[in-house]
Amino acid sequence: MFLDRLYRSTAVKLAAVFFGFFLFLFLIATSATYLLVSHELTKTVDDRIRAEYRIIAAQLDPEASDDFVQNVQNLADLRDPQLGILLLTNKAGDRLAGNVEPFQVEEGGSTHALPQIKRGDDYAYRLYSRPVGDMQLIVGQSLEDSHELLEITLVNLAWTAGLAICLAILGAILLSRKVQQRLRPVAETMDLVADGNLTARIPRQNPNDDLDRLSGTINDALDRLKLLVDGMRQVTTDIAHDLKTPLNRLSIIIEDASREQDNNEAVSGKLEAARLECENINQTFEALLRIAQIEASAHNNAHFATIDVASLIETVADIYSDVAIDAGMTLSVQPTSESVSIKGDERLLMQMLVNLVENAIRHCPEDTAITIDTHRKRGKPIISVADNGPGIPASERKNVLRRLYRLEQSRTTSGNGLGLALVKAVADFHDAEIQLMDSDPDNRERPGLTIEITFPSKADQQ
Amino acid sequence: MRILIVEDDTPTAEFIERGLQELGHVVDRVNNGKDGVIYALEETYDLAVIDRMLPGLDGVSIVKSLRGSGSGLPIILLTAMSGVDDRVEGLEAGADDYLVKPFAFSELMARINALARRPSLKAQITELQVADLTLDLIRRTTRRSGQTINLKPREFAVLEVLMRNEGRIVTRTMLLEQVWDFTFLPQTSVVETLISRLRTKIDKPFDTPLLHTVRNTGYSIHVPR
Repeated sequence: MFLDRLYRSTAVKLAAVFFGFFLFLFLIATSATYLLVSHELTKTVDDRIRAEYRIIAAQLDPEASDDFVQNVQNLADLRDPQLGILLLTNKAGDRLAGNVEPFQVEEGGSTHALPQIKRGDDYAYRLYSRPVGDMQLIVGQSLEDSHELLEITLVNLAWTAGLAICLAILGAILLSRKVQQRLRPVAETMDLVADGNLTARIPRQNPNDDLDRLSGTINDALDRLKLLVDGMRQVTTDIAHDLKTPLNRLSIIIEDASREQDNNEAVSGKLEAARLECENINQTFEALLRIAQIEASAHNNAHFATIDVASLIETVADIYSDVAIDAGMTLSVQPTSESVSIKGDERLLMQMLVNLVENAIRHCPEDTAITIDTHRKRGKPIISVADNGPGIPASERKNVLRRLYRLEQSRTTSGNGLGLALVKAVADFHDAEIQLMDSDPDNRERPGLTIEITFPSKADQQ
Repeated sequence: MRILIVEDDTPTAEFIERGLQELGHVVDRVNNGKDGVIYALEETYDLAVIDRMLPGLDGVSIVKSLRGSGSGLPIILLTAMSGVDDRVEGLEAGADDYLVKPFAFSELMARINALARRPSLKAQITELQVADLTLDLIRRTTRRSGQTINLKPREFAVLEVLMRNEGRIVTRTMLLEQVWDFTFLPQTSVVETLISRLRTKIDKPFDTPLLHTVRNTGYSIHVPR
């Protein structure tokens, strides 16, 4: 079980990969060291025997070759053939002087196994054979010492490799356990979330290392998920609740109608009322669907075009000025010399403005002045709709952007509580910020309401 | 008129069929896309009402294949999908009008009438006239009984739509789509306000009212009967 988990652990896999890589490099380095040492040792031996050859060869006096042979014999007598060889032969290969029996060897430097001379199990000699006058001088040295040195080097390297491998394996196990220890809370939290507990969060530890930051990101995502799910739950409940009321009314109307029908009374009025009720329900659904569609198509800016905000505002003001006048209000456009344009979906922006203006017209008393304005603040295009009506208490401002939410005082007026939710959906669609504030904070009686939509600046939209 | 209904939901199809038959139209009804195309191509109809979601071949595909085979049959698409994109897709496929479910029968009726008698050479008409009210479409001027009446552009546009459909009902939704370019229902009386302004200008100063309200449906312009 543990081994199985270990085998599957990412850390172990990573460690294995690095270990393989390390081993590969280590082998290359070891081979290089071995070759280098071996080459250096051979070179040292070669240098020595060549130097010896040169020294001996320099003693040759062609007039007194017998003296030379005797000298070489003297030198050879001083030498243990187990360590070094000295051999002087004539052209036929017969020994003239030396500490070993004559043998055949090629010209120049070479390595030969000479078991007839050497005891033990390493018979290798490094030899150097060159002519001296009309004779041939062979100088040689046993490689036993060099080979022993190489062996020590090799054993050394092997021990190092073994130790490194053990340490690497141990490290991989420890690392994987450590990582698993860090990952376990993440996995456990996700299991909880999968089981439907959306409040579960990954405990934070070791601030600001990568795993901790990842945990933070996951927690943020869970926060958003919870918000969305809560919102959806809320909306579902709200829809069910909000539609129950008109459905209940509809049911009563139909029941009434059928009773009146039994009494042979005229039911056309009741039927008309039922039809109106259906229309209401239908419009609520329509608005909900529209919001859902806008939200679903977020980040799809296929219909985006550059829109001249001033002309959009003029159009809306033109359409609604008479409606406002009939409601005893005034609707005007704040004059501006600035030309403000935004990238957006014209139909959606139009509907957003219409909803803002209609919201003001429907919820404000007579004598209200509604003003539409556009300008730039720090490069960001702003559209605002302001009124001097009763305003919205600061505590309620977040709520009125929610679907189906209606202030107590507006429960009695018609409407489906979706106007501002749609405004918010359109604003979100354009990455715009929406802000509700008092138009005139000093006026306690009628602070009014200003809804300001701040669009991203051109630079931010890129 | 001879009208083809392609609709797979039987109650809806029967509702439309009955309504149209009561108004004296001859109605054929099929419940799938394939039959819809076959009927539309082999028989002669004045108009087709086609549901967008159908088993087999959907409404937009029917419209495309009909237009592809050169049929100029006026088509109204019915749909439960009301997104702007859906509407655009339907109209671009070649449908003449697009009606969102649920709809009132009067709405469908008004659209059928507007389509069926749509003047084929719209561009050639330069002047519209109902009784003593005239609309000069080139100079954008309005006169009644010889008096010039000043209309705002949107008022003129509404009057033009109404007069092009003289004697027929134009619904609020039709006006919102054609004049305001709104594909949503406003929560305030935008249309009513404009109609009341228009009425003050073209009817109030004169003896006979021409602009009539059809309750719960829309408006119609005609000489009172």
